[in-house]
Amino acid sequence: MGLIQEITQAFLRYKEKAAASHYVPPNSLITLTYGQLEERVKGLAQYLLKQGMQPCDLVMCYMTKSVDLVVSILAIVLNGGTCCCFYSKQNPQYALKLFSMANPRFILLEENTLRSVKRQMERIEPNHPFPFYGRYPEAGGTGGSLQNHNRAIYVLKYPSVESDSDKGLQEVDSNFDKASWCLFTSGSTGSPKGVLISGEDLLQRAVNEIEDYEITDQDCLLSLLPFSFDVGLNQLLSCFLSGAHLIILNSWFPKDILTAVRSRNINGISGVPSIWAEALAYPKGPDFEQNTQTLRYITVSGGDFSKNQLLQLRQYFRNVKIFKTYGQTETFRSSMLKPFDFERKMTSVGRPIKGTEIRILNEKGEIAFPNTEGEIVHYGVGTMLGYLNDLEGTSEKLRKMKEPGSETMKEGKWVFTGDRGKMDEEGYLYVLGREDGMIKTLGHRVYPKEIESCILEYDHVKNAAVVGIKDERKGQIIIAEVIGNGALDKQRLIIFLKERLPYYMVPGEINVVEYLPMTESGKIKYTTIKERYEERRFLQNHS
Amino acid sequence: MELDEIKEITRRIVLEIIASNSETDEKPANFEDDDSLIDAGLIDSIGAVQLIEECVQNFDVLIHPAELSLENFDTVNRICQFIQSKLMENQQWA
Repeated sequence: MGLIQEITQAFLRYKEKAAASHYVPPNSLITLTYGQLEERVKGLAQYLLKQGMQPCDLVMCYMTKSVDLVVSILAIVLNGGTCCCFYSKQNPQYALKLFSMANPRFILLEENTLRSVKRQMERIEPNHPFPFYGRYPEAGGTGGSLQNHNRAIYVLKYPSVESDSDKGLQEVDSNFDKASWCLFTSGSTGSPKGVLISGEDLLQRAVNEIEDYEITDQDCLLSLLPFSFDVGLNQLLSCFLSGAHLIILNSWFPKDILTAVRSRNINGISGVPSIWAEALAYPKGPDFEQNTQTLRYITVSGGDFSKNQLLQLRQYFRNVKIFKTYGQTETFRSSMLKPFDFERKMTSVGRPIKGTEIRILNEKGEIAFPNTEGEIVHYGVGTMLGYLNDLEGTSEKLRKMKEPGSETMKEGKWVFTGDRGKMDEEGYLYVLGREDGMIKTLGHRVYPKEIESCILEYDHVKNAAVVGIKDERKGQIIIAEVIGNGALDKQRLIIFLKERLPYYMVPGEINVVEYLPMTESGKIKYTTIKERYEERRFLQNHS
Repeated sequence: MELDEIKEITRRIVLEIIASNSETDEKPANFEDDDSLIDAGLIDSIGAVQLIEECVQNFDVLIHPAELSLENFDTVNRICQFIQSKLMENQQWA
């Protein structure tokens, strides 16, 4: 059965059960049952068909994370379209840039984003009429039985022009036809790329997640991550396919998260390191164990935690299973460290997940020996179809390769992740850092992550980012930006690092900052930090 | 500090955060004092951390982690109310 059939089945099977809620602590809660969700989704899907939506159309959602967004996503997928949502900030210019890159057939908006997109379009082309838009439910309609939640979803017909991007679409054709989802990596590097994912793969990912986290229709899952981020999206699909209840919370404040866990009886949370770093700084209180007794698992995905922080997390959530996962948008999840391995292998990211294969390739393109480093390549479940309108980028990232050194000679598409890593004899993967983030200093190759982990071992540090800046004498010099936790003494930190790191790895400059530039999914934007220092250096050299 | 002054500073802080997190130089659209900032995605989770830091700096108040919540920080009005109560606490101790 495909993704669409599975979703339709879930609607029928769990009709009376709660499906999705939007929770605003302490006590505002809007809930849709599976039956109500089905009614809303099918209503919107019908409306979109009436407006001329065809299977394989790309439809974008520029909305905040809400039950309306859930309805929109499912309606697009159910109509056989390709769904692409991105996080709504007050940023119409960025939205317009994504629209022109992706050239969607329709854009689904809420009142706020409709207003700001309209204003922005009129600013750019004052004489151009604003494209047609309609609303669901239509004026006078109720939008189904859910009377207490009747906000409109606006459907904008994007003024598609015959452009180069249309040609691009045709060339990627077979990829695009199969795509159910397009995730924009608004990421830590370069300009955004649309990662196309098939419905088949989305389904397999969800099936895997349900199995690994043992999700059942009795579970309540807390949704903290955006649906434009692969981990957040997968949690949504796993939830609905298993009949569980998704509670949307748009706050990463530890207090709000703990209030949600206590009052909504949460069983599982998919999270990223920044969420847990904040939680660790939050005092537990005497009733903590009691208040979190329903919580069965949490995940640490999309970034790494130092050993020190992992140990603290283990202490903090004493009775909770901790899953650590590693992957990229282009591969979804490559590996997972399961709870039973946590104590023994916590510095690794675990072993390849079901249906995937991981290899480490050395510079010659051969499989690296255990414990020697190379580029991480990924095969199997999670592999993207390709980038949207970017054949060149696709062929660079996704390569056909005979499996090196193997007798079975499996041919297929491997994702060249650009991440450096190594594997131990037991097949546990260790991620060292980005190939392009590697710092070459005084003839040594250094990964920012190694230095960051060491900085994070220091008690008064909450977060740290290390970058390499071009330097004529040393090749690159190392600069660290550090967020302190209380009284942070820079000189003491330097002494601490000197005792633990080889001389060439000790940062030449440490700056205590209040916050680090981050992406919506909580990843540090290294390029932003790097640019800032490079600009400063350039000015110094030229003044 | 009068409520009006607190409000003026709060609005400035919020505007700056929205602008600094935007990918462009575009000035953010207007928002009402009762509009949700964090829940409605105007300020994302990362921006929320900035928001707290700026409040600490600008109003010279100590904020306990247990006070960080949507209840106290989701709208300009709620932030103002919260800050005012903190400032009154300070006065009592002074």
